[in-house]
Amino acid sequence: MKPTTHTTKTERQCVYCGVTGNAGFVVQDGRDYCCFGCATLDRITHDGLVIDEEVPVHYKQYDLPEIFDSAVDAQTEEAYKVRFHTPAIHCSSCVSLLETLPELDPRVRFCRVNFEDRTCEISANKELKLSELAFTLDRLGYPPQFNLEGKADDAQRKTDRELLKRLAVTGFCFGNSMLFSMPHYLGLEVAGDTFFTSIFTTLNLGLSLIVLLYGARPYYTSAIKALMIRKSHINIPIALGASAIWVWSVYEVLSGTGFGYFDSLAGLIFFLLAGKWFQSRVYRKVSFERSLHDLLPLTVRKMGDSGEEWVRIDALQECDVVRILNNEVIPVSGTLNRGTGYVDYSFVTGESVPKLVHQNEMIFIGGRQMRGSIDLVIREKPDMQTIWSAWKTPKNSTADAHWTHQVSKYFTPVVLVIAFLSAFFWIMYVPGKALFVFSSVLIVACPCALALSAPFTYGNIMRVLSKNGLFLKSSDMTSNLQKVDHIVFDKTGTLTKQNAAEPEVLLDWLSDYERKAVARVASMSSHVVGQWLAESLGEKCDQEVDDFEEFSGKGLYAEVNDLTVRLGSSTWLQPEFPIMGTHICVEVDGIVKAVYRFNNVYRDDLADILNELNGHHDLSVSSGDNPGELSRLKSLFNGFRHMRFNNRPEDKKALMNSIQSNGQHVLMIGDGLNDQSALSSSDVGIAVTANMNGFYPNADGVLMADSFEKLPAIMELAHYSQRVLWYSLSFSLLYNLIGISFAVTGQLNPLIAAVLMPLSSITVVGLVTALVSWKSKKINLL
Amino acid sequence: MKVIAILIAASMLLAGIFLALFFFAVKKGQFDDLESPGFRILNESDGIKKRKLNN
Repeated sequence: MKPTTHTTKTERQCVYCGVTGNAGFVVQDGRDYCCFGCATLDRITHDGLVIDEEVPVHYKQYDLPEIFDSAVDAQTEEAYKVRFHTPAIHCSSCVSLLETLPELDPRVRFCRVNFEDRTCEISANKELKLSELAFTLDRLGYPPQFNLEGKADDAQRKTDRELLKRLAVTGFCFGNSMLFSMPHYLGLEVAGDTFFTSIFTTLNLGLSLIVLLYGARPYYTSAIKALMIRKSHINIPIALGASAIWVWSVYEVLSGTGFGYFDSLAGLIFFLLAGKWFQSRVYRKVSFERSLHDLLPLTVRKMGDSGEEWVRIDALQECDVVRILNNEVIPVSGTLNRGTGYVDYSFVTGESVPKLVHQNEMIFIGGRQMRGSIDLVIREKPDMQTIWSAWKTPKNSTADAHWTHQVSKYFTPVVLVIAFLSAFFWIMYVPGKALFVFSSVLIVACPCALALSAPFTYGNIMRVLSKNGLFLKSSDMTSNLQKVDHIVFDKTGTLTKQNAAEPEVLLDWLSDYERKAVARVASMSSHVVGQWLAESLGEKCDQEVDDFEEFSGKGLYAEVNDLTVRLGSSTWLQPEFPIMGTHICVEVDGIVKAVYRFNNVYRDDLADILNELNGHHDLSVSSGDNPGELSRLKSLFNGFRHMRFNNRPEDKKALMNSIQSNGQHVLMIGDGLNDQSALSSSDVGIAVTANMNGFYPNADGVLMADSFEKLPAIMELAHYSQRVLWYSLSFSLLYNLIGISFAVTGQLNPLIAAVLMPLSSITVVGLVTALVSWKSKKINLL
Repeated sequence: MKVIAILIAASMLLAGIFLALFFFAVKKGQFDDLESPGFRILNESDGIKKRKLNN
């Protein structure tokens, strides 16, 4: 039973947690609870994980043996173990609720939440079907996502652990190496003591070998791989520089001229690894990729000779009959064979009013059946590839062309040329100093500061954005976002609030008596607009309605007492003036007496948000709906560059392309699946959603609906990233220029170079982080 | 002064043991999730059933 909100004024006490009060109290089974959470918890503590409604089809498919096997991690005769991705986990209460599942239902054996990954590992007895478990989690507010491809998570976990180990070992070597070098730095006269000198240098040499062979191995492997395919790579100077320091140090030690720079080498690798680790943590928190399985059921009910059976979509044949129940997503196109087709295509076309489908007409994949169950006849053998590719087109990332990559690409060869030239020069004149100069140049000119500035800037910005409800898929998208100078909005669900309509009275000559009768008739309508009308007319008469008939696509006819009432569209009832938008006409005894229009409800402060954005961006609207809202939208904000209505997905895509061909970078903000192709053909595509359960394969990011008002600040921060990058780039270039000029002239000791290098990286990272935090605070994002 | 050599050996050994322990912890997955253990400690050990007042 669903809890209902209570409104009486007496003081009550929550049966579950004991809180007293009245605000927000709900009643369930006649008892009071302070919130929905307590009511839910009490229900499951009492009844266990009882499911009192049918498990939706998209969970049911996981009970099929072959899908079950690929969904679970491990299974025995009587139990199975499964790992769900549950992005809705967001606080300690979530963890505590999920982890008490075994107490609530003995069939659940174990549940452990990984908060950082937003995953939940559950083992359960096989009496609890996987579909029921998944549905229960869904009902608790944690809709689970299955990972059928499975093992990608494990690979990620393995590389994370590997990196952590390398970091620890390198840190260990760095610390010890520094300790052994300390006497040397302090000028203590161990140098005279050959016993200690040899112990310290030997130990240092050993530690440095561990650092190079274990800690720095990823740098060497990627540098070697890049060299093999003759490509420049940022790791080449790092590998070469580290080798040069090592060779130089070994030379110093063997020739007895010095102590080597093993500690700097270890420090260098340590700081590089630490940066990488930090980065991977930032990325882990914001990944949210979903698969198509979550939206489309993989299996359908096929009507065979012996009744219903479940089959996989790809096993369907032409002329098979498929049953779709109320509220299910249509997984496969076909013609209507039985039942009333009333299909909500808002995912696909953006039109929010469901469409009536007649017998033998096509119903297309991606819609949602809204009225009772229907049977479809398959006309063409479905091909998974077409189903998937309908919404999944690969996105061209412009990240490769990003200028920091370009600079880094030239940086490496330029530094190598300078290093070799100066070494050559010094060999000609002062051979003893050649290696010294060579390694100084390579080390001091390491492009680390350069390489770090972009990922750290974008990583930081991504972190700030995800705190504010915008989740980007990759940090490359921050760099795309920063270039945006044209924003295209979808209307429904983006500029308007989702699921709300505001009635507008265009004409109302109804008498009180007529009004009640019409309200009565409208409330019987199965069309959503009829229901809206009934709601806005208010009180209904309790007279019996005679001769009620609905005409699909037109409206309805009914007789109440002595009145004949017709409700319907203007094309059917022909009022004396044309009407745009979603509307309904009321005709009583042959005269149109009332016309109601239902307007979208725009987001609060929409005008302010758009005006603020308009300063730096061109704005456009592209909507799948009809142009009925044109004038209202214009009165709200009159600066739109393009206003397109009745746009199909192809039209939206074409609009993206035409804006891009004008040399602009376009950000598409939309919702639902009808924007998918536009989202993927834009430079940055962001899907707006009220919860994280939506399905957005082509979006580059997801914006929480209540964060929409932060859009101007978000764009300002994104544009600011450009300036941060310039600052850090000029800092590291300046640093490199000064460093190289000292190194080339032989005035820079490689030791100082090796200390300077990680120092410069840290300075850049610190500078970038500080700038981003400062700016975010200034525009109230932090 | 030569005692320092022993101290160095001892300190290296100690640090090495800690490093090995760290490897062990990483392998056991203790570093996979740094946040939820912090939440878990707040949970009452006897779960939410005890919190019910009546019934």
